[in-house]
Amino acid sequence: MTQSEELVRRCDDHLAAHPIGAEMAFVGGFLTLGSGTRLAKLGAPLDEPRLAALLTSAHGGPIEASCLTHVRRAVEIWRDGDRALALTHLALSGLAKLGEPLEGARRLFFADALMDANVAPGVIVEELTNETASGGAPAAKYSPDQPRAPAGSPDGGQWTQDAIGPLKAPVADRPKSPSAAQQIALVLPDGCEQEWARAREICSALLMAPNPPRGQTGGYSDINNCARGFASERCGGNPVRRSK
Amino acid sequence: MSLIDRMIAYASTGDWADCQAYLAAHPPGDAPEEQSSHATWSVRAEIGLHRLDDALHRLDATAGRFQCRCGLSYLRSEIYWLKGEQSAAIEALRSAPWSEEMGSFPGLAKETMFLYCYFLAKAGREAPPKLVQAIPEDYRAILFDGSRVGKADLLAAIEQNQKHQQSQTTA
Repeated sequence: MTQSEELVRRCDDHLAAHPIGAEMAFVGGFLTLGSGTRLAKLGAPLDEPRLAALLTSAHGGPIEASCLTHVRRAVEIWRDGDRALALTHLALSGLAKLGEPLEGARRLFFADALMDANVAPGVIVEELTNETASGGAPAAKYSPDQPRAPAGSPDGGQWTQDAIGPLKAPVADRPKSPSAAQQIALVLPDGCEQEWARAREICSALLMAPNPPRGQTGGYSDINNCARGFASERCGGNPVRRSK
Repeated sequence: MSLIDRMIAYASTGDWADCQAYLAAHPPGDAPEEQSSHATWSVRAEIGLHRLDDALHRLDATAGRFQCRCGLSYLRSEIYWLKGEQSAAIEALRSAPWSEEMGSFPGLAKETMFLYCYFLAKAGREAPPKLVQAIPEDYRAILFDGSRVGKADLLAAIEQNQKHQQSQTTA
């Protein structure tokens, strides 16, 4: 039995043994969907690329960044105890319910297994985003039997060009789809709110001028984007500070 | 070093006492922009030093120098918010001339509009639907405590209010 067939068998066994939840639910410290696939662990830093890959797989196609934001907020708010608001965010995400529960659960299982096998989440998102029209489920497109770049190499765990026949270029050379890029966000480390507070103080004052200095505001007219120039990269600010 | 560069340096390090001393020692010239900038940073320094009543007095005393009226409302709201006076903070935002200044001061016009809706919703009050609709879907604001929120958060708060009202009605 090939690894692909083994994965399909494991999936069938798993689906037969577990009830399928058509809606996202907070169960035992996790946000789950499908046949209990864990989308996020409460209290742990959110792995947004993984979450994006799982939800993209579950729904069989690209998801909007704003939808992912609702899910992220739901996890954060549930953790903080406001359960009603957390469920509201889940509902607003538009992703809470699977249109095809069985197929969605199956795709979730495959995506989870592939990432456990070190397939990069971005690869799954990108391929599903680009190839939705082809109708292929992750397992149909990716296979553990196919060669991958060795672990530890820059592309470690990602499928090589030979492994992904339909791909036109090596993974590293392919442009990232905007939706995939937008879906990747960061959970702010400690001290960052203070950084953003100071950045807000500066930018709100700068933007009260009729001609705000572009060197400081970066040419942005809104406080949030201006503030990115005054917050560190660690906190989600711009990677390189603008000249002052 | 320009006034702006100096103010940014003070703000980045939180040296608001030095900032205030510098501003006191260097009064603005006659140019409206210079006067506006000086007034803005003077109030900002008072807020930074947590002298909120003084900040409010200074804001009232120099209100005529502010070129950005939305900015004036923004600072007033921030002061009330820091004082714990939520209703006054919301009321200060309500008076911001969003539409008049959307072209000249878009940053503060959008921010005050968003904050007005957001604070209303979080207080369990109705945010004007037309204003909510006018806020771009991907808009992100920074609250006075430094936390960032987006339109998704605003819509969630509004929906929660609506559900709460529905449950009250059925009960």
